[in-house]
Amino acid sequence: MSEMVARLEGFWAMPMAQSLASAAVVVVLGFVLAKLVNRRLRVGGLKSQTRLLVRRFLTTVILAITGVWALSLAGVDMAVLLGTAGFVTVAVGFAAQTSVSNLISGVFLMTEQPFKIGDAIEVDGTRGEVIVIDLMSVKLRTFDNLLVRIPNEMMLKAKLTNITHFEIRRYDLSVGVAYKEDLARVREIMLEVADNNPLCLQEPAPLILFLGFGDSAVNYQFSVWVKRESYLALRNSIAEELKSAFDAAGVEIPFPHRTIYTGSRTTPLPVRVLDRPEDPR
Amino acid sequence: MEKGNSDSEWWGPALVPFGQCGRWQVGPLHLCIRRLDGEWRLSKRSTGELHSTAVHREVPSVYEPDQAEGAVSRFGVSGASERIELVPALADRHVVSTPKLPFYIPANESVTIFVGHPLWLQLLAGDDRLLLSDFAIQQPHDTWFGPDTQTGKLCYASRSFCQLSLGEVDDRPLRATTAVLIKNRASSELYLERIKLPVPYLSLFADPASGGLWTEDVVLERLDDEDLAPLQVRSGPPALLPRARKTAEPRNASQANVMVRAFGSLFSSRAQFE
Repeated sequence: MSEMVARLEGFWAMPMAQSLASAAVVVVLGFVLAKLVNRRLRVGGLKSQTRLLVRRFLTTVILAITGVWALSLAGVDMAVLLGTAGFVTVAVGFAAQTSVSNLISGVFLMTEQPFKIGDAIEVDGTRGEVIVIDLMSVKLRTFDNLLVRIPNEMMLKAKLTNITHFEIRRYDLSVGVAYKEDLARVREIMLEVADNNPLCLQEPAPLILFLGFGDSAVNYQFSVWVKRESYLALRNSIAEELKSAFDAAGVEIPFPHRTIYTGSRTTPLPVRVLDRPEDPR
Repeated sequence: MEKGNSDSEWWGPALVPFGQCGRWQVGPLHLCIRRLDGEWRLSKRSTGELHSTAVHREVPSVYEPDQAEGAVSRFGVSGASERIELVPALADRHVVSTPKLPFYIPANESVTIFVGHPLWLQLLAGDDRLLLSDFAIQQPHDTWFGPDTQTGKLCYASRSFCQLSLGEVDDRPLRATTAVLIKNRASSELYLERIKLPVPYLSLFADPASGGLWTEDVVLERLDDEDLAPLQVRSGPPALLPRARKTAEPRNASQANVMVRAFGSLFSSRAQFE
């Protein structure tokens, strides 16, 4: 036992051991400080997105400073290290062009804030809820529960649609009615359907747009406004209710059809049912 | 059969013995509330008759399974209290009302209008009045109140019109009425197409004679040709019904010197495309 204590005392007497111990203390101090800063920021009144960015930046800075300090205490020659770091930086810089681009794009995204965590967005045909905004990428949870990671550079370049940015949305339903129908009555029915559905906003009022005389139907766009949380419920209910209302009023939603025209004064085309031809064999 | 506090009052406490139920009808809404071991069971359905004024209360009532019972909600509770209470309440969002025909209020003129609001119903169970459910008697339409589709506030739309005459006030049981004094202090006339009232800040009062529900009187003062108006809620029962009794507190604590965007114009179709 006494031999072990003597050995430890001897080890401690070495300058190298004291330097390493000091370096270890500095590293531990760095981690504690980083954690304290994280906790302090959690109670601040910052937005979650900004808090995340600031927290990561401060953690990186604190750990970098304490790391360099610890290396210095451990006896590493910083001049040599920094000299080497210059070469390494050039090499890494070439290799990490994409990463740096993503990083800078991330800073731009966080500054511009076209969306926030929890928003539903669409990027390049991918729709989903934003669950993480990092310096390098944005992670989406698609509505079928898949994780999609989109690099920030792509986020910045692509056309981005924030689906939930505004409190209300408009749902457009295209509908065609037969040419024989009374169009004023059709309009009335559509307005009644909107009036009977409490999810439809009263203001902005429902909108009925005439789209044109189509091949098979008179085409309309029936647009109703809804609060964003009720969008899917309205989308399902309004189509069913409109179909039921049209059915009840005898309004036809026609299938595509063709009228064969043989002249203005012709009688209808004669149709004759022939017997089945005999088998030539 | 137990009656409410007065013949016209459909709300208030009631005792529903275990295994039995209580039945209420308030306009188009039919409620059946059953007391079972460890739970309250609420079934509600709407007849869709928006103009129904029928009010009925039957407590206790023998429970008989009914196919047209409607949506059923269950609430697990401890204790053996048979007390259930129905409390009318105002909406949890601001309410927008429109006059049947918009009208002008000339500069430096004051008028009182009567505005109807949809009613909510709160279900409180037990002696400690545990809130079980809070729902609209007739779900009102959502509506948007603001100058465009980006800026504004999501509100409820009232199905009753705001009236200039007390005689035209809608006294259906699923409505509450507010007398709003509008003082147009601006140098221009006010074209009133719709008005928004912050009903979560208002209390409910019951008229002992008719059972009709009212809120405190409200004063809105329009200054400097702006839509923003200082809101003043006059504490106490409405001036027209000094003997009215308070039946529900406001949902939100009232704030002094609130400025509300109370007056607004309707959206034009064009605005939806710009």
